[in-house]
Amino acid sequence: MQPTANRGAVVSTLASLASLVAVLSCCLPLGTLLMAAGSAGASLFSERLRPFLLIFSAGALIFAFVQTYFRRRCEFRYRRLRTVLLWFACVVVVGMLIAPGYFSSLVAGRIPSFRGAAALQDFDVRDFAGRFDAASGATRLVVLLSPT
Amino acid sequence: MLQSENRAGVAVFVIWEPVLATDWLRPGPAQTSFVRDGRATHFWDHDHLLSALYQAQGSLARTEKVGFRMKNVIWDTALVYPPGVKWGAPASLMVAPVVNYHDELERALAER
Repeated sequence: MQPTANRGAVVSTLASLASLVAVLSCCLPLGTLLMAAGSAGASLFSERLRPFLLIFSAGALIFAFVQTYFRRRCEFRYRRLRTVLLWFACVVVVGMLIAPGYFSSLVAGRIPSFRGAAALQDFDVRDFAGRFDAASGATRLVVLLSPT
Repeated sequence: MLQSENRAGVAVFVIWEPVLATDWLRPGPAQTSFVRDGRATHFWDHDHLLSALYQAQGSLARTEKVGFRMKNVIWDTALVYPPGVKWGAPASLMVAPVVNYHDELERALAER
């Protein structure tokens, strides 16, 4: 998970810097959508900030859609690039919201697996304790993890 | 880490539990591919039952190395139990977050 975090940090930092430049150069929708993507990327590694960053991302994205499709703020020559970036940011943010596990795999440069390596059973204390004791001849490793 | 620890005699229990705001869906079987090891048994602990048991237990391990503050849920944590120990006894090692204690975990798994 460390490479994911490092890469996510670089990507989101670059996205944030780009958004700042874009805002300063008076292309607000571009800045907003990059900000959205930057926030979503940052949320890959910053667990505490993740809910706030994702909310911010979604808000920034909605703002960018309004600016692009309703107010038509920017000049025409920017529109194609901006539209591509807007939809790219939309994919990033929606991907982070719907399937953060798969999305972080992609950012880490790994194709996410859609096939399980084993069954995923609902936790039951008795069943777990039974299996734990049944394996008492072995060293046992118990790992508690968040899916995302 | 598990790939380098190929010897038999290690049983792995992976407990997935909702902790972050993005853990709002029950993961599918594909989640198990993140710990792809034949010795691993995967559980989905939606209600944090194991975490609650551990919190009630008090001291969880003889050696505890916890690098972050957990609030209500024990997570991103690995516990190593030596052979012969029954459920309810303390582990020999507890580490969190897992990624920061790769070497300690390898050493603990290698001990017999």
